[in-house]
Amino acid sequence: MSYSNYEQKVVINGYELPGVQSVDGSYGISEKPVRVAGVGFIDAIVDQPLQGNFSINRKMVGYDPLLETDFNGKYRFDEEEINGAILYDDSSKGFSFNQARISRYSVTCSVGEIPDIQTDITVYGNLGKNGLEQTGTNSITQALGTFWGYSSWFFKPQNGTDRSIIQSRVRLLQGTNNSQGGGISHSFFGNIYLSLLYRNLEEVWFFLGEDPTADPGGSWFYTSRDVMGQVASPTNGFTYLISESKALGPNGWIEWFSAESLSGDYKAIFYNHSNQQYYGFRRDNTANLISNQSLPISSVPTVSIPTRIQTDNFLDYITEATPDIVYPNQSSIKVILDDFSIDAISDFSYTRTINTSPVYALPKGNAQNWIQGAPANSVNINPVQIDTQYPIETDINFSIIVDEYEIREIKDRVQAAPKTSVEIQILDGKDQARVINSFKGRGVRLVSESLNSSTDGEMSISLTYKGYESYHNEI
Amino acid sequence: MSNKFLRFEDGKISLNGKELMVNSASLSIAPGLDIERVYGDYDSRINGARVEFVNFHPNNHIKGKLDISFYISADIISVNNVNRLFELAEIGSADKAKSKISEMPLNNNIVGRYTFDNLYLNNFSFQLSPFSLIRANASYDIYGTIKKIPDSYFSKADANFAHSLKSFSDIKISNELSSDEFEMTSLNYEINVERKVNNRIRANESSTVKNSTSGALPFRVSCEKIESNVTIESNNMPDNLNEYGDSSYFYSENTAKSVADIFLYSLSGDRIYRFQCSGKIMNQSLDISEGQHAKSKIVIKEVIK
Repeated sequence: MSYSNYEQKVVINGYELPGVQSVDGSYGISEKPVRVAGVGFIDAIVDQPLQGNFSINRKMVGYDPLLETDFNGKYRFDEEEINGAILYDDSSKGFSFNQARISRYSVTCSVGEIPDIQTDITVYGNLGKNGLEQTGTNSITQALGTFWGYSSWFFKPQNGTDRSIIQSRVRLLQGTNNSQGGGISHSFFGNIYLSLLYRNLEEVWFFLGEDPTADPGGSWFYTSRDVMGQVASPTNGFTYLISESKALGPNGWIEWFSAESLSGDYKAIFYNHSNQQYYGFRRDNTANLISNQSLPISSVPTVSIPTRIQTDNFLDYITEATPDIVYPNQSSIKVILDDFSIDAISDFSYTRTINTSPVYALPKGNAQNWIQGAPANSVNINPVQIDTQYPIETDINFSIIVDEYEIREIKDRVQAAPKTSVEIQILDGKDQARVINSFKGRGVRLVSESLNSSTDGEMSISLTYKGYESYHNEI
Repeated sequence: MSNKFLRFEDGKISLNGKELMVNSASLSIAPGLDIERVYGDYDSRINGARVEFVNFHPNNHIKGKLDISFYISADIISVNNVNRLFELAEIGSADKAKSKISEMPLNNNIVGRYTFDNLYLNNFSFQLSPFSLIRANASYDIYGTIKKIPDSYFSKADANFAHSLKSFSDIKISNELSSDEFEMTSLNYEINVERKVNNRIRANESSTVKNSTSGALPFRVSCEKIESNVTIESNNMPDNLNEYGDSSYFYSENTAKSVADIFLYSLSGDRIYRFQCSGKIMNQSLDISEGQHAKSKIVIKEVIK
């Protein structure tokens, strides 16, 4: 049986992407032939990590969810992993992946066309029909050891950013055998509170807002017991425990450990990247601070958390509302440059190239594994870390129909090397007050100009700007 | 007519009669020669004696070296059996299956077109790095000469290779840090034996010795020292390293040693061998360079003998 083009869905980070024209996906296993003196070739053995590639071509027919930015205005995909799937057969089957990074994001447009978006993705994690399905492998209680005693659940933000916590929804909540129930934990990041609680064995609620004591609803969202696993016994209603934990910077993370009982202590571990300090935090259920101590790093366990819950239903991959379908037209695309006023633009392209560097580590196990003939506790088949190699290069190219424009003196440009800003705004063709997507190049330099004149058409000039973005500097 | 260059596929390497899966080998042999220079006859032009070269003369055994790089597989090194070829592996095992190294030579050895006897193991090492086949290295001393033999090969359709995908390690640094604190990007195990050559007075003066190309051979090649090292390349470097090689605020007689356990598995998941190095931190370093992550190296040394 074959599947028609209208039967397929492309899902990235829970969004069903609109306007998809084509998707190419592939993966490769690198093998090394083993050759032995006196024999020659014996076998070919895997020698490199598995790596997959996706290329998605879309028409820009609405807000691109991949262009989410963080509180610093930087694109999330610069630093964060993504996951996704191609669903088919009425979404009952899927080809999915996780631990992926965008390696290239490009927008091109010519007069009279809807802008094209091309996204290249490199997959470092799992890839296949169960690419998004992972279950936790770590026992939190075991990982914590005697220092923390026990834990009923916890979660950890992806990539250690506060908004990751908030927007990552429920990455994972691991339930253990807590015999009690109810409870809530709060933390705040700047003026934003993140609250967690569970109720009646059924739900875990999250709150994002400035007032964690507000009634559930509105800004609250929840996940079901399926996600929680086995949790505590029922309690009626909600209870709140407002913490006075340390406010974390944008790069801090937190792990919460709820009380074993209603009269037990709540515990948390904070890590603040800015001062590279861990903080231990413990309080009782009356919100009295019991201890607030800094911890040696060795006391804080490292626990890897799957980025996606296990699911048997591929439709569960679509967790976000699809953005509205809106179209730009050729009168609703604006290009704004700081250094000169431009003539009529006939086409443009905007490309960000992101080089990533995965770090793979050796498996970790212990003597017990060996005695039992079992595999390692931590197989480390996926990268332990995927980092962006800065700078990120931005290339912006325009072709303009020459009217008043004059090519600059190249020697002057070389000596002055002036920087400028470029912004491309793509607006709704029906409502030009509504920005569909915008692309900025700050601190970019004009690196190339070319002139084309022929008997067939108008004289045109092509301008190429290039910019570099660094990790810590403000954009 | 001279032989053609030996093809890789026809260059069998076997030690003590056992065929090995070697991917590179280097065999060298050299006599130990002194140069005799003496004052010659009287030369009237300089009104004195000139220095004259007389001859080379041997000052030691003819001695060679064999370095091999080979693939570890379950039939060469296994839980139940480590061949004498790599008996240092048994000494470096976690259960210390063997406490001393044999002083007997390995004979009946073949490298390509040459055969030789009197082989003594000096060094055994291997390295784990993510997703890679595990290759080991061994280094031997050779005493005596080499002889030519016909080309030979052997058949090997399949092998149960040791692989880093399934092998793993467990690190404890002075009971302060455990494997949880480390993400290792490479791990190197090495065990060395320092040998001493003993000769007996007049033992090599018989005509049999003089008529043999191997010439004089050592009476005994004894084992003086055995030491193992593990070098870990990782994201973490222990702090509070004290002068006793422990990662600890204070020195105590009871400070636990640093221990690296290495468990070799084949790609098909079979256990192959367990090595252990339990000792002190001898060195640690941190490297930061452009385009790379900062990586630390920790060297743990155990003195076995």
